[in-house]
Amino acid sequence: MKTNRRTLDFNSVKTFLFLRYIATPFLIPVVCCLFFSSCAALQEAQQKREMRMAEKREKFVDYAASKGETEIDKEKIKAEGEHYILTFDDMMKSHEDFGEPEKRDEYLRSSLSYMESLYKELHDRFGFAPDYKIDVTIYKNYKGNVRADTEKQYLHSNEGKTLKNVKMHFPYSMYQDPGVRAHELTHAFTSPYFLPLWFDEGIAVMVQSEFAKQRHHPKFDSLQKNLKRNLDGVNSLEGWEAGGNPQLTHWRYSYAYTVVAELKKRYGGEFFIEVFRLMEADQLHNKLPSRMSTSFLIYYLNQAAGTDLVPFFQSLYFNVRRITKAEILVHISQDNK
Amino acid sequence: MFYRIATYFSLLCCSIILIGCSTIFSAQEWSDNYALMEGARATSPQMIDGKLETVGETIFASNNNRRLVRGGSEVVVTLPEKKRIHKIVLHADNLKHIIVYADKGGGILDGSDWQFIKEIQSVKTNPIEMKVLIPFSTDRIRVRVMKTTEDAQLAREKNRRVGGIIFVSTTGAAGKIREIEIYGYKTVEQAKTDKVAETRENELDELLDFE
Repeated sequence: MKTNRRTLDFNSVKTFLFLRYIATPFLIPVVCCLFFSSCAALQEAQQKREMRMAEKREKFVDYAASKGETEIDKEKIKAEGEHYILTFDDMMKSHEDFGEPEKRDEYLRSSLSYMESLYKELHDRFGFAPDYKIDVTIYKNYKGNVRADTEKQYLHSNEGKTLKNVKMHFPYSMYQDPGVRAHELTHAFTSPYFLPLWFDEGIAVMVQSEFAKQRHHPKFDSLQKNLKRNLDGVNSLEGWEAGGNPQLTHWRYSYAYTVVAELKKRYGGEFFIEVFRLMEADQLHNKLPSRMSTSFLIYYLNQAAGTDLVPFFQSLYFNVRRITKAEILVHISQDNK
Repeated sequence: MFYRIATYFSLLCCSIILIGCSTIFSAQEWSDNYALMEGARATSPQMIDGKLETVGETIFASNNNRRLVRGGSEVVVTLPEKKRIHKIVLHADNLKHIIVYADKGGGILDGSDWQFIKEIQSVKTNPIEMKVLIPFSTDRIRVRVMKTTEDAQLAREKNRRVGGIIFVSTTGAAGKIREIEIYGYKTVEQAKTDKVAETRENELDELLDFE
């Protein structure tokens, strides 16, 4: 049998050609399939890479535009949108920037447009959807221009109380500050739930920092390292009331934000939507005579997270315990006697 | 034989080239404003609400740092999908010096790759219409406002005199933009669809007139 480098057996060249003629019709489709599948694989890899890049991409705090209509009165003092009513106090007419009706008209429309966009963001991230319009009044001067106030009106019934209306009073200088504006407008949404003060402020600071990019109260890098406890050994966030030591207050804002941000990081962007959805479903907050306790809040946080968060809060020296719905109802019944 | 094959092949190539280049020879129509698409977002949403009565302000990198030397203020518009952009129109009140960038994407550090598109050092018209040639599809446009017509007045208000020394403020005013419009060219299918819709409307109008 003759063999050489290019052939297999006795009939050398003919055998080689025979094999080539047989193999070629099979080889060509196989090569084509490999080629196209590698193209498809390449395409898929490229798409995945683009998605990874899109997620990694520099993120901006941006908003969808508000497409709703705005109604403005003849004197250009009051504007009404889908979720807000924005009013100038009478004294604002004497403000140097708002003497002319056209200037007031432009300012009211622009501000309302921004507020409606912010509403949509807060709705998308927290699920807020109040069935009342938030009434915002802007003053030339208001209480020394160092604070904004929120008034709440309730409708009382046998079922409990329902928030009917929220009015906010802003000095113009504070309203111009986008961070303060975002912070205070967030309170208007969380007001109905009677949240613990620290949690309420934590959410408001999170919106202020992450939407308005204002870092007055920066997040701590560690909850444990930056912990502060009162004389009872309890986390200084508990027992937080209005006023107080400015340094402690500043710490409280930052620590509350850090706790809220940690929860969001652990349980995802949908976590707070689920928390507020559960509260809405139960409607127990409407029966409370005052702000809920942290243990009461944790009852909902546990359900949304699908895990017991009491150990987490206890590790931060919150004075909390695991409670059931029955215990909550008994507590509400006792408080309302 | 060879010449015949070469001739047929050349004819085939020419046909393919002509078909591919047909868009160049057909009249170009501007698309709808991409900034008004569902899902479009902006750092100042008033600029993409379709209303010239609302004014948005460009944002400084930090509210506490408005230094002109640090690059001014900016607005970023994000579209819901990548588009080929050929025209940007700004309806603005006080812009003087602006730079426009487009995000090519795929940057190593943060996924963004901002490419310089156009600079206008002395804005003279309102609206500002810019025909741009962006050689890639993009879903993000950034307008950086380097100077405004209000900077001098703001600086005068902010200048402080301490003793005999005047501390000159370098803070700048935010850019005030009423609307940002972003356009590409209509595709052939879109142009056909629009033409069909227009023809149908004209026919309906004629019917109504006839009645």
